[in-house]
Amino acid sequence: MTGDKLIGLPEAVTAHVQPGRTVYLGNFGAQLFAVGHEIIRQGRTGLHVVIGSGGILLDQLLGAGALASATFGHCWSPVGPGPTWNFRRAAESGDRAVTLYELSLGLMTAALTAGAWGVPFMPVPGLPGTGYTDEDWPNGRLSRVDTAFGAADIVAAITPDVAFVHVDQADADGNGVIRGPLGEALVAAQAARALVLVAEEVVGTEAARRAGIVIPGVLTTAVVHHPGAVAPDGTIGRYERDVAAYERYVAGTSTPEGFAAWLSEHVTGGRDA
Amino acid sequence: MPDDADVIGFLIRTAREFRRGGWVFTGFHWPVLAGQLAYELEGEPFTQVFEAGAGVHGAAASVPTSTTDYPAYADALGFTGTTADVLLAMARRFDRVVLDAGNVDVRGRVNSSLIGPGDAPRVRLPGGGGAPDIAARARELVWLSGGDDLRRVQRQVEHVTAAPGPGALVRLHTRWGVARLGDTPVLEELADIPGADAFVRHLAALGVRTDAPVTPRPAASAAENAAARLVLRAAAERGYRVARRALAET
Repeated sequence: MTGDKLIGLPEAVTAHVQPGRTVYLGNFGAQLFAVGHEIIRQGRTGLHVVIGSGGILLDQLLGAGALASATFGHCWSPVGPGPTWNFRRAAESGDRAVTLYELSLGLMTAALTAGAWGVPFMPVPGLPGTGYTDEDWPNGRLSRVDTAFGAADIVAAITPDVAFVHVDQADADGNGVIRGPLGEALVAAQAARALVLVAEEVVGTEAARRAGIVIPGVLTTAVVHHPGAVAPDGTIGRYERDVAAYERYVAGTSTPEGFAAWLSEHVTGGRDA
Repeated sequence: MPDDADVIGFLIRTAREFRRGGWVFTGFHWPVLAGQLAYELEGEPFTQVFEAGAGVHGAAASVPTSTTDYPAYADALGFTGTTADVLLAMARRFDRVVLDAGNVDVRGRVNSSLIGPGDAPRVRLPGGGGAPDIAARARELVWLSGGDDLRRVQRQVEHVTAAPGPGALVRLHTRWGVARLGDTPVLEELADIPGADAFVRHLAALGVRTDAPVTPRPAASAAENAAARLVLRAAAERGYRVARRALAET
């Protein structure tokens, strides 16, 4: 162990989430609602969020007015599946207040890989005949180059200012254990200028080693201990995805008033976001 | 109404795509349910692959609400990796790719993200997820469209979220039958159920060949029907709207 990186969640958000910053929110399918809600409680705005599986967390950040842009793979409720109403309202109304960078999940992982490697772009297998290529859904993030080795589609690098990554266990030095699929979390951790691990449990270094370290402490800026961080999503070995909570969210947020009430009850505690 | 006339029949037929065995990339929604049913029935061994980077080798303890419901299938997890592993590095190795279709056209292209009337959507809801990547690399691509709206099958989708790559074998499963899609689309299988005639007429109007010999949909066994109902009941408890509607219908 080389140092104690443990801090509180409010402190982590205060330190790393500022207007204009690019914030990666993990993980794929086990979303850090605890972080998103703290961002909303602190009234952060003007953020550029990067989130693979947008889901209802992206919907909540949109509805709360926290975002300047969103780089995302998709945005719906995985339970049902159901609509994400803030996102849908924005699409239907043509509201462009939040800039959308729509990447397929393959493109997003490639973009984060470029960020991790410190190169400006990454060649990618093309998506010919789709709107990603033909209608510029990535909003300028996808291009094509001719090189001495042949032509290639390329995606622009994404280098988050900070990545929040959920881990099952972490030690105080920032070694993190992820159980189950990694999605794009590891490459996002490598790409970001600062990395905050949000851990279900803080353990000693030997215990982390025995469990299998996926994210080495050399990448980690801070560790937040926050059991239940991804609820209502689930996490292996600890808690299940809360189907009823998802259903209540979708049922209750079909209007702006409904969303405001939900936000007040579940996030801000009656205070304005 | 016979069992094949409803969602149960569709689910049984689509589960057979998994029971053929091999490595099957599995998209969210209908493919998850079809895979769950396949594990309950006899067939060749198969591995489901999910886009977050998961290989699953058996039935989930509870029906996954989506492919990212990790606790639901944790006990059946084998391979774990990254999204890039499965969508980019391994995609060409999979025997089959089974995905949910929103609107699909006769060339096998899908618009998964529309708002408004199916035949004239005015707004595109962004977000194709991993489907564009995996569809473009699939050797055999199977689209599942389990709804009851014929207009979901179109001559040309207005926006293309995902498109098959060159040389891919592309098939579409609906509750009324199965069609091979592509440059020369053709009806391959037809269920003997209400609505099948309208399905044939609809496909013909879109330029799908419907005069070739068509295979009748194989009858479902009692075991398949019973297992499908169990999966649907479990899915309904896990929030699947299609399952709740189907159980209400039956």
